[in-house]
Amino acid sequence: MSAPNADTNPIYGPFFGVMGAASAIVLSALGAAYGTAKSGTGIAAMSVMRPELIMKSIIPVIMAGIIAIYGLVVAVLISGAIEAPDKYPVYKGFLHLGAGLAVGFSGLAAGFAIGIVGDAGVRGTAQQPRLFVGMILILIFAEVLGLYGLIVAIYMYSK
Amino acid sequence: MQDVADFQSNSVSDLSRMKNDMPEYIAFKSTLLYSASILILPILSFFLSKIIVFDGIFSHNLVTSNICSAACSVLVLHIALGIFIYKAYAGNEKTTKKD
Repeated sequence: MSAPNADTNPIYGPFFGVMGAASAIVLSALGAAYGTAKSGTGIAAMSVMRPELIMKSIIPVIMAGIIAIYGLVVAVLISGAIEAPDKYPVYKGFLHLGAGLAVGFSGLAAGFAIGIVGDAGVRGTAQQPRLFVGMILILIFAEVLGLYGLIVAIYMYSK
Repeated sequence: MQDVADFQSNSVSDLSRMKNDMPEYIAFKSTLLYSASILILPILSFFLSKIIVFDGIFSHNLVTSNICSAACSVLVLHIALGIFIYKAYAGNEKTTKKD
């Protein structure tokens, strides 16, 4: 049995991959939770006077949930690729850490944006229904930030 | 006579309450259906497309099949989200017109 090269395949190589997978899902879930909670308070305040608008105003919550799905996809991809140190060079660990951080922090930022936009947009839609289209557009632009992180993460993962 | 009138008014108020509750029930049902499909469909499509299509039929290697199925699940997710937004927009137009 040939000993693994200690320079390219150190024993701590998989640590970086594991941290990448964990940071992908943890940071995305943090952003998604903030987005859900912040837009949830807006929906709760708005629904007291306009309960018929609940179906429309659930959209920010669903978009925040999608951010967590991005993180889940990358975390599952990275977890599937982690192996024992002799088959897992530290270069791959760095790539996986980078992929996880890319989707994690992008998801965190997108979740913050969705929360703030969802809160204000849902309250405004109750007063002026024409705001709905604008709110959807802004929410899509906020959610695309998370999608950019996912694209970069998948590109790094495929290196 | 009083009892009959009471009963009638009670049943009328019950009926109107039921009529008021019906659209909410329909909205709740459709929202639940769409939310569940948005949460479940991407995960299902990821694993199904990976195991059946990309590993089974095309027999790609691990990285390629993972990336293809991830793209597939993200596509399914956005189609479901688009249908939900369209439904929320179109469905609410109808109820506001009714009011």
